[in-house]
Amino acid sequence: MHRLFLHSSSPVLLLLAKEFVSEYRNRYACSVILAFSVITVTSISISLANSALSEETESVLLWIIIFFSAMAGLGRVYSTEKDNNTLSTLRIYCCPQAIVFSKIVFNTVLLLGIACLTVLLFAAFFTLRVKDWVLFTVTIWLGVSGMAVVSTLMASLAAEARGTHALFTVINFPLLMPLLLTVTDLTTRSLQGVPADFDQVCLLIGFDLMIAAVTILVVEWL
Amino acid sequence: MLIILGALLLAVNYAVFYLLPPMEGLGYLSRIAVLHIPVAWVSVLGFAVSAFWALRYLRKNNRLYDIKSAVAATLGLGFCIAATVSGAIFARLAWGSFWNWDPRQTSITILLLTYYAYYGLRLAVEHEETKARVSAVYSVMAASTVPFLVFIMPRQQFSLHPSPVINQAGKIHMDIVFSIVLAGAICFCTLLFFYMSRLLVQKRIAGRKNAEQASPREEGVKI
Repeated sequence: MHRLFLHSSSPVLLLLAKEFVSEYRNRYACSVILAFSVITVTSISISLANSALSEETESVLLWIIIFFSAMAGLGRVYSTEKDNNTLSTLRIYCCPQAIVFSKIVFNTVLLLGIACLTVLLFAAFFTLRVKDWVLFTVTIWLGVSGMAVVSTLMASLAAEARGTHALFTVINFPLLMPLLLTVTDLTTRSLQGVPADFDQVCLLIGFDLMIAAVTILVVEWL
Repeated sequence: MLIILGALLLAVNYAVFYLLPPMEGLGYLSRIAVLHIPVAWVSVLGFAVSAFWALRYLRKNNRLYDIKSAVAATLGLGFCIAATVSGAIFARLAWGSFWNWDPRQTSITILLLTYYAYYGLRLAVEHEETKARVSAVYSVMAASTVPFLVFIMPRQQFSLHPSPVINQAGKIHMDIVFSIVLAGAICFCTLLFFYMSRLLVQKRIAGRKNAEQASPREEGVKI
């Protein structure tokens, strides 16, 4: 599969192939996120001992788990480059936008996988019933992509610091808060079957577009 | 500068205690708005100024701009704390509890966390130039989420917060005396912000020069 990409002339495709190949070789990020998601869902389920959850609680828990799994695994795209001193090679090879874009795509795919898995686990453990599938899917997609963009940029900042991991969560959380609040509200609506508030979907799209634009502008100087 | 600031402070204080009429529904509680609104405005201004100097730093790579950006963020955080405390006191007197997660209180908490994390980031990076670059990028990113927190999200939900100065309808319906006093207070706070940031920037430059004399190998401020 990756041989196919390696013959491509586009730097973004090549970088993307590189991300997936290096992840495939040690499977660190995948396994950490997977373990995190499974452990949290099962521990919540054990401690609740089969008592039913309200839709609000379910959506809040779902997003908390997705957020913290993201924090556990997404920071790695830059910290490994830093540890191996490979970032400067990448910078010689192509423009910073291509680097950050490939990492964002990789993180989005990873996070989307984890979101799907967490939803499945929720369906198994907490009898999650989605009444509005369109809204639910759109919300997950918009939330996950926004989260991936912010956390990729923040990973590149945190990679420069001491105590990378703790700092990564601390700087991500407040920036993602507007997104998380909107997304939990929309997920609750989709679970309850209440019609979506169009303003909130617009807010989410606006937030995603704006952080993407800022990232593309700002990454020039990193 | 100090004389102007002092005169404005005295004038605003006099107006608040002797001229301001009690507001309908709130009574003399409206006095706290004369502190709360300007302070909240200046904290948002501080974050915007910080992002402005951060962008300048990223483009010109001049260490002075980094100092200015950091000072503006510090002052913004200080004013933000003042806005939170004055808001909480108002909430206690008007709504009965200091904290009840009104949409405005939620967003100000996130603002506080955002710029607290800015400090964490500055402290965690050791190399001077990396620190400046990293915190500049963070400041720009943080300032771009501020409009969502301050202007958009609180307006989507039901809030007990008295309607903001510039509300949805874009109309200002306030007593004329109150508007004038408020304008005076906003002028005072904005001037105070710029005066304090100038003092702090000078102080930091002086501190850096001293450090530079003590250890001449370190790179100094390029001005």
